[in-house]
Amino acid sequence: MPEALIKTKVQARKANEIFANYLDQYLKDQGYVCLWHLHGGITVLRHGKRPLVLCISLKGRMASRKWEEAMKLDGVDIGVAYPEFEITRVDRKRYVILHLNKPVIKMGLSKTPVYNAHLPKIAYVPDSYEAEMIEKAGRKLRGKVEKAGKQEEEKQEEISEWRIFQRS
Amino acid sequence: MEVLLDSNKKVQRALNIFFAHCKQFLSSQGYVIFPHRDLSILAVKKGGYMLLEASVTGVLDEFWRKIGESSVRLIYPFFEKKIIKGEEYVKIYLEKPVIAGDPIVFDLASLPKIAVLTNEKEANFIERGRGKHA
Repeated sequence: MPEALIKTKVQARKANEIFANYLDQYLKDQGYVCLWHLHGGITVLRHGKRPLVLCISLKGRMASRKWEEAMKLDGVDIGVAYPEFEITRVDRKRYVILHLNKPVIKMGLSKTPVYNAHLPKIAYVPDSYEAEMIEKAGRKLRGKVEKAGKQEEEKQEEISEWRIFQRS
Repeated sequence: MEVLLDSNKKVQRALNIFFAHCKQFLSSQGYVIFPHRDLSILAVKKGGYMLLEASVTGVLDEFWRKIGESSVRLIYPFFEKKIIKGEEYVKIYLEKPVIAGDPIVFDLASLPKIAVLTNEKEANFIERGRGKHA
């Protein structure tokens, strides 16, 4: 299976993004409707049941206090989604292997990581392109960026101007 | 301040501003909120929740009907109809969100809209944007 060593925050963010897409597909395959949060989470609409609000985290940890508050209110179900993992040893050094295409859902509050978060992480993905995306995340691509369609360009422009405004 | 929303871009920017006010409003009411990328919000309160879609036209997106989600409600800006030089306009107050009781409250899609705000920066953003064309 193609793999990529996660060394930087930007690479971790890319790995998280790839994992979130697999999670989304996994939930859709089960007939659920997913609403993506603005800040890294998913609301899962389950017919006849109250919504499940999932925190997406490679470490399986809810970092924000918001989750605690939502748990206390007991108005929705909450949980954390993280990739299936295994600890491996390479040249005496321990690594965490993250299977990004295999989501695990743990219900309830999760304030601590599900594994030793200090260990270096290796992402396993089914597609070599995805592994390349993680490894190259953060590097400037020269001449390789395909020109997006006009509509996509306009959409990106709108999003970026909104982000700039929010930061100002 | 008033801004005539005479293009789709301005309507979109007004919706973004309105969405930010919705988040503030719901948080101030004690809700824990989870804003979604599609401009809907899950607002959690003691023992319950509300699923809200922010809209400046007063119509729920077809998406909710397609997925069979009937619990979603509309959050829209307080509005009033005005006749200006013989033409009908709708003034929408982006800082005053209203939570609807019914799924479809009104239909402002066809009427020209004027956004009303007190914040100059927000008004300028709707008018001009802050991206490449600022």
